[in-house]
Amino acid sequence: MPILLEMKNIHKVYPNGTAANRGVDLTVHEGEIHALVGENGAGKSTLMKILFGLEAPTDGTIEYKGQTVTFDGPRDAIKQGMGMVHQHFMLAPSLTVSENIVLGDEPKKGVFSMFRDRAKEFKEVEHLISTYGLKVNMQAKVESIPVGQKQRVEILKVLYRGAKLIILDEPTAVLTPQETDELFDSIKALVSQGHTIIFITHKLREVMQISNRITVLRAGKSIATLLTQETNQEEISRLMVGRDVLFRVDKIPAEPKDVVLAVRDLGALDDKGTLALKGVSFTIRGGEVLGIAGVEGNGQTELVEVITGLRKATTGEVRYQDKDLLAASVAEIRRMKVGHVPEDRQTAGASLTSSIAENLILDHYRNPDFKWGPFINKKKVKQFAKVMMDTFDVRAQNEETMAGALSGGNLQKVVVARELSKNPLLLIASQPTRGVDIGAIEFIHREIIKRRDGGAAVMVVSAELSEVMALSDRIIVLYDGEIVALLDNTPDLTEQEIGYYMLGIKKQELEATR
Amino acid sequence: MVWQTIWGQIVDLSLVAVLLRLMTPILLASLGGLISDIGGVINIGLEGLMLMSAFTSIAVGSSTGNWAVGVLAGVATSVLISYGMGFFSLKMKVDIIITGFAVNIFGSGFTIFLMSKIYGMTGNYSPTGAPRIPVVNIPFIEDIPVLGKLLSGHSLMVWIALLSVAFCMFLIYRTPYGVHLRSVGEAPYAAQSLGIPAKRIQYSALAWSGAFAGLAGAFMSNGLTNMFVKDMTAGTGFLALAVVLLGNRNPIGILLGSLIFGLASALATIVQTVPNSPIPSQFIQMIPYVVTIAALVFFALRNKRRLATMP
Ligand SMILES: Nc1ncnc2c1ncn2[C@@H]1O[C@H](COP(=O)(O)OP(=O)(O)OP(=O)(O)O)[C@@H](O)[C@H]1O
Ligand SMILES: [Mg+2]
Repeated sequence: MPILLEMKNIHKVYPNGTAANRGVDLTVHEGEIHALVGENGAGKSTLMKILFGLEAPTDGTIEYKGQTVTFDGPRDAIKQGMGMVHQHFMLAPSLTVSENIVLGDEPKKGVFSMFRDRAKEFKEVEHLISTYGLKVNMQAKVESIPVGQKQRVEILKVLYRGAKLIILDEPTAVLTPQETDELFDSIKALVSQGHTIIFITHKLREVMQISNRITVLRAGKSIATLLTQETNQEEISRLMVGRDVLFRVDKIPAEPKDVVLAVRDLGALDDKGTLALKGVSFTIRGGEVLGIAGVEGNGQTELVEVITGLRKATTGEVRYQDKDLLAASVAEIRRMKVGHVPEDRQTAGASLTSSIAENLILDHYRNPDFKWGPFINKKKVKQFAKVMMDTFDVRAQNEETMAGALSGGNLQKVVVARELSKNPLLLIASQPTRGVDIGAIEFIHREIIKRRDGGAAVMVVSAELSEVMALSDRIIVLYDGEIVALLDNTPDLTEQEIGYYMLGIKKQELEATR
Repeated sequence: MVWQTIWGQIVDLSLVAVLLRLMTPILLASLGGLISDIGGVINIGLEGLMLMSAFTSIAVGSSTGNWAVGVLAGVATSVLISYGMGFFSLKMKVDIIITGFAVNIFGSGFTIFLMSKIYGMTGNYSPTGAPRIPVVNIPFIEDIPVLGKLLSGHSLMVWIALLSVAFCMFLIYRTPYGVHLRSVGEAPYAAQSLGIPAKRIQYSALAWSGAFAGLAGAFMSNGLTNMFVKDMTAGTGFLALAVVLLGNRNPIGILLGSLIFGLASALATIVQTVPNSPIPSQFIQMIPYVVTIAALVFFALRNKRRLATMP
């Protein structure tokens, strides 16, 4: 296949001094799916921002279709036929799907092209949707559609501008396995219609499944380009991390103690006002991990929000030790040694305009250890932040770096570090390793198990079935707001078995789930 | 006595005329607030802009003897100042709320200063024979009994304000500019990543808010009254911001919100003119503000209920 893109010896130093790329070579062939992998902060997103004209390289050259190009901004890259779907969605929530797709390039009509030509807009978007089979309701407001469809809107946006080379930065991080499969179908359709794809992910299974070639970045340098057929997950991870990675968590059998959390008959509404939890009951003991499996949108989000005080329950009770959590405020709950890793680190987990250190003590600032009279003891905070960044391997310039400048995975590590550092008695972890590289996943998993062994009650919610199975001692499956199964995580429990419950094909007797 | 007077005015439709007149400044100012809010650069300085425009417009209008030149001068001043707000907030990165407050303080102080420097007046300036924004009498229709009173005899600015509602509807929802404006206000990074010049759009949003505030101010000194009184806007600019929220951030909602405010003001005005009214006039003057606060509380409660299930 002919070469479409060659990036040579790319260097990038951010204004704050971070060297994100330190000599990267990337060659992409026409019509291939090229996977870009590497640890959190390895410089993948940076490299792609350079390619797309969002950041200027400090050094290096880009050849596209045989010509050396320099881009002043994304406009130039778009004109050359490139498109990028960013790691975090770039959509205006209150605009409709079709408005978002044509944004900045609206079909116009009238004197001086003053007005929007909405008929043409609909026709063109309709045409795009049917050509690529990316089904989405184009008249709906973006805020009202599920994540999987938002992703499609992003891709349609790029296609509308005639992109031939499409960059997908961690598109699957927020998708359910089902949505991922659909996305892969679309990607294959795109390739068969002559598009080229650069695909960033942390999930090596996906890399093996869909890519043709793989480039591995480590600490800002490209260290290998591999043919997917000739490699395996172990080799890739060794190249990424520089050592062997354990894919399974080593853990001793759980030693459950007293009941820490007892949920009875819990009901709650979702944002639209429909019943999302229909009488859920379970208990978690100290020293055990309860996994919540289920296709996203079956009540997991609401369950977590009710327990952590973010959402009102309509029925039932939640007892934590001897306290009634439903009557407590979020602040009170957090003071009761309840740790919560929220599923959306960008909006609920961190303050993007505060420093890493500030984010790390968000929950501890009342702690006398960090105070000096009524003031915050900066020195102690700094020390603490340094230690946390060290233990959790947060890669950033220093503890004063804005959280917003962190790579996605590193931000997640900050949130997890904060929640684990309060030594919770009850830990609620939603998607604890979303967007985190394999080395860090291993680490976070080990830390969670450590808390369990220290006697904490842990609840893990994850869209990744493998994660739920790796961590949990018992697993409940949520389907349509109800618990349809309570399973002991024995070695002979299979993903397939859980899958049947998740899809609502099988269901245990109600009594068995209590 | 009071009720009879009100009823009488409702029946002979003069209430409508008063209502429309009193609604106009707040409607225009709210539309200005709306556009700036949608663009993500909410203009708190409406009050100050209105004062500046009110003063400029009557000063220029009376010295040239032409109301149109006066109004244009008032609007131009207001637009210029809001561009200045853009310079400080968009380029120098001063918080837009602070810039807005600065404009309010400046507008109040500077108009008083100019009034005493130029005209030697401290409280108000009422030039004799200053031209007013004309009243539109529609031929034939003005002679039809009910319709005539409803449609004819309003100030030109009343019509401009009503047309502005339609204009804003078009601008915000039917033009590419409007879509860009909304996207910049809501997701500036997304807009920028598509090559939309976010800064420029925010400048223009401020300019629009200046233009509408300018019209509102000019009407206050050159139509509603025929003079400039210090701090004559009396909080209209702030009420306008409340109306933006009340109107659910769309032009039609804002028209309804302004009508409520206009009605309250109209009733207050009528009651005040009743001789020997048993109600102290200070209480009556409170009515519009109380209504606004009540409406805002209602709005807040409704929103709270909707958000009750969300974090
Ligand atoms: N705008 C910025 N300013 C300063 N430093 C930045 C900025 N963006 C990224 N960095 C730093 O550059 C390094 C590389 O970040 P980048 O986002 O490219 O990583 P990544 O490989 O995409 O990681 P992830 O898998 O976590 O998304 C990180 O150390 C990050 O903190
Ligand atoms: Mg990234």
